[in-house]
Amino acid sequence: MDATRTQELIQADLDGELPAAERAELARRLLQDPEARRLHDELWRTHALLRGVSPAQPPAGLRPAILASIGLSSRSTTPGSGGGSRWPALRLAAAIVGGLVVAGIGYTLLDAGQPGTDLQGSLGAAIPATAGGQAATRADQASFQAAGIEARATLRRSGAGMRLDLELGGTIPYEVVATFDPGSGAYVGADGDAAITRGNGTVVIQAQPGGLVRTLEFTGHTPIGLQVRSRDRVLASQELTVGATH
Amino acid sequence: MIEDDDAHRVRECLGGNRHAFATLVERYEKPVYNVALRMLRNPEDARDIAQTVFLKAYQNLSSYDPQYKFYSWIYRMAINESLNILRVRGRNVGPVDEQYPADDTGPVESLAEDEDRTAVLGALDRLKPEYRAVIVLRYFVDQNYEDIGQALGIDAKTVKSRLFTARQLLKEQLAARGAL
Repeated sequence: MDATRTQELIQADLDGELPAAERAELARRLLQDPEARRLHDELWRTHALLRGVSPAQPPAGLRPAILASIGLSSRSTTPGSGGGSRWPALRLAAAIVGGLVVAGIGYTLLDAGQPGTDLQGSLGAAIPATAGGQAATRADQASFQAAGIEARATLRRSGAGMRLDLELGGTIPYEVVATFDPGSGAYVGADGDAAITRGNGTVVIQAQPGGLVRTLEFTGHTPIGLQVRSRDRVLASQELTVGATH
Repeated sequence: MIEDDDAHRVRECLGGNRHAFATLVERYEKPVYNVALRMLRNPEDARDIAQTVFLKAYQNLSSYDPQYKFYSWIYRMAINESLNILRVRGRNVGPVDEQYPADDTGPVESLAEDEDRTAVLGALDRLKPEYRAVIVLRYFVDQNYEDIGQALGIDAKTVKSRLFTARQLLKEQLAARGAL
């Protein structure tokens, strides 16, 4: 068996760059070659250990010192640009959503059937069936139901990181997009061989008709933005933050 | 896209709005500090490098080529500054204990995590700088092959090859430390 090819496939797998067709090839190679299997397992453990090292916080005085060195004061930072985050908008959105949930005001569900229509609902209340979907949410949990889609997500603490449990059922293909601040956490991997595409601060899970249960592991504690999409349309979006009780 | 906003801030700054640079400092202070910290494992050096990188970026903003991502440009500076220190001091850049914020994990979990972290960072120290750099950019600031290539001035194929070798070497180091 071509060891170089196996190594290429393992590397692509580690980096979330393995297309579905090549995933099957890797699975075949691992099945046939115990040495490849051992290498795969050890590299995955190495990968997980690296992912487990949390980003360090810079010293408090660093930013003022940098700004002073270029003749700016620490108050020069643009308001709302995010506390050290590469995703300021996400941080801001997380804060807003967190506030809404705590206040019990509710959530916004984007209408699956009527383009551009935003529907407001009370916390935990059902959205009328004609709206195209029903959503329920609390800070660490969200669920969404619409014609052909049934998705549930729960975010929990897991050691120093988090795990996102997804139950994706339904009768049509759709995708769930999880976004996070890569400066505050990192995606480690998922159990099983779900069709998962990893980007910089983004993980996309393809749900096919039938049922799919997947657990995604993350390091750090960062808000996770979730979107349910079908045919390039966003059907629902929700920000999850890890619950205090988990 | 964050890259578009970065480019916008750079243009604003070059147009005379110096305060636009403060947002870039806020956005990239933490990743730049982490790049230097993981390359050198010394918080004081990492702090100095972060300060130097942003000062140089500010002073040389007019030479920044917008076809590259702003963060690739500054990560490249952070790596180069780290390599300079490693060259001057050889391998004798002593790791200094880092202070980690306390979390709410239990004592057993914390102990296991500390052991893992110590093993990983110790193994990273043993890598040659060119291998350490790809690991740092891949794992500690979440860069993809293309971004790593831009930051290190190498093509994606070389990035993949270095990354694979670096992972193999780390795996051996971690196995020797009983961490696998």
